[in-house]
Amino acid sequence: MSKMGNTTKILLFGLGMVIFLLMSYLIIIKPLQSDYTKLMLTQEQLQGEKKYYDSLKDASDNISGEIDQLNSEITDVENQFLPYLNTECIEQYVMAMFEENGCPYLKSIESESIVTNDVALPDGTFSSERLVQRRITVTYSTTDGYCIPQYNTVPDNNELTPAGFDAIVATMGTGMYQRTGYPQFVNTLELLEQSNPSCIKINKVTIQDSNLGYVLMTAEIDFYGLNLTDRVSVPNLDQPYITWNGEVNVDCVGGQIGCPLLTTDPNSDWYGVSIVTREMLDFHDRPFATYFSTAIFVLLQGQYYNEEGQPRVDEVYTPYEAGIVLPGTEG
Amino acid sequence: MSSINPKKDFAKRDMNFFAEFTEKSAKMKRYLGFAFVIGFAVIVVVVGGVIVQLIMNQVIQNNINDLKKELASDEYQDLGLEYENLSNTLQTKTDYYFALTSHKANVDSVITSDLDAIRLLEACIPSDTIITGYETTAGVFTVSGQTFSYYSGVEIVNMLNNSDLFNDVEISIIRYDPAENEEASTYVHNVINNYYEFTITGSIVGDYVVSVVAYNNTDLNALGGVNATSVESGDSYTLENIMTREENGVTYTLESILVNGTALTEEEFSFVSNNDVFSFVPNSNASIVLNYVNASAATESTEGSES
Repeated sequence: MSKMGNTTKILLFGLGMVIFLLMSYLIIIKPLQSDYTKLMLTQEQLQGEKKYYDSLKDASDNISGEIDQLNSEITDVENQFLPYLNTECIEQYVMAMFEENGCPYLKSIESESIVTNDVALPDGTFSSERLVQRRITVTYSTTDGYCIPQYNTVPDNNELTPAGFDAIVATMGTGMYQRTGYPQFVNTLELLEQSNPSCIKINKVTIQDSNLGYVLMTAEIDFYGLNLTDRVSVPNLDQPYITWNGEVNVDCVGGQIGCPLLTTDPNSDWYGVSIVTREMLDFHDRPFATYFSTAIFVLLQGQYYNEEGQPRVDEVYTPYEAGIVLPGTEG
Repeated sequence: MSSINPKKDFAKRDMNFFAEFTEKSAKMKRYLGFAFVIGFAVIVVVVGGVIVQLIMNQVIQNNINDLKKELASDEYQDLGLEYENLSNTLQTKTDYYFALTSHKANVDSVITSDLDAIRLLEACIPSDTIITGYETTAGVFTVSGQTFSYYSGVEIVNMLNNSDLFNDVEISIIRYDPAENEEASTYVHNVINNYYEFTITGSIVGDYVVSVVAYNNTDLNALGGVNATSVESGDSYTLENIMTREENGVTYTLESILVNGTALTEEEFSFVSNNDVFSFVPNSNASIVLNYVNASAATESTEGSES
């Protein structure tokens, strides 16, 4: 080497450099660049994948936002209907409303389930969310402006004396005993409708004069609820027509099934009431009694009433005298 | 006689050669030095380039590792499933909302008894008149009564109509014949025992409910819920900007309009299309169906058929 000329050395060095560069490129740089290209491609693919997932994430966020918005609107609609319809709660509420507003003379109250249409979805299937409707039909009476109104109790004149009776008769048709009930009826209907306008609706109002001094007033009140498979909102159960708002500690000691000729249970409000009438003393089939004993019972009928038409049997006469015998028992 | 000394010439020539040689040799040495420097620089550059490339590769590799790690995380693993679930939930909720609002529109459309009409009637009863009965249901008000004057029936309607209560009225007035009805004896104490029965029947002027629903006829689903609006009798109901609609980032184009189940004619729909406004005056409760199609799907379909 030392004997080589400088020119040779330069040429060899140059050659070495060329080989070095070539080898560097082939062995190191090219694979590195190839790796770089592959890595870049992989990175781009992964970035694309991430971008796609990020867009999914954004879309999911948007959908979540829309679902939240929809849930809010759903909650709003759900709360415009009753969560369920309890007939007893609704009827108790309706009767209490009329009574509290000065219209207590109930003639009848009935409930009816009204069939509603299912909702057809755009794809042709039917929604499982159902509208339920309960119609309460009430008939109330006004007073006639003459007869003393007595409401929902054994008459206050239980202990009526002849003088007291005359005093009551003298008040008939005067002062506070004017005809009452019609304005109270319409007021109550307004209050019922206003209590929840979106789901309590007055379907029909009918007024009919009786030609007997009083007016019969009938209204059909519709209550709307929803039967939902997957309710979003928490139902408000505070309203009195949803949850029971009537008496809870009901005295059931003196209840009886069927009315005997004479109620002898002192726990019963019917205590002392006799249902014996002249009609009852006609010959009726009494499966528990023999033909013979029934005949005797019928034959004894004359002994039940005195000449004034009052019951004669002591058990019957005593309460009758106290004024708690039903009018129908007077025979 | 030559005075030339050949040795001297050779010596001089040798000296020039050596000088030349030495100079050349020094020059080559300089070149060699340059070559080494350049070679070293090239090696430095190559090695530097390799190092830079390695670093870049490593940086990208690190990025790839990070991306892979991120994509393998629970957050990203569940994204596809979560999106699918959310899409299904959205569709379920949309159907649910559609059903609820449909029920609400049905209930809102119920024509209730008009308690205001009852209140109005109470204030419009002439002193010679007894209202013996009335019924109000489904927008129809029927009033019957008895009166000493055959004018009273029409006077009642006149007073009621000062508040534009009735749309269409029928009135019948009949002289009451006591012979036909034993109950007439109820009224024999009146000084005037010649009286009339009347019956008034009329449609109560009230608000109408217009319910509007938009359908996506491409995917057969509802676009939102049913929108029920109360419209005062005689007023017009207007829908604006209805030709296109955007829901969940998708643009829909209006294809047809149905009013109470009947589609608008081509001319009518063309007018709506040109003005982007639909307006009508309801004379009863009405339902409007707006049928949309997915605009992009429709375009693709058109392009496909053209190609």
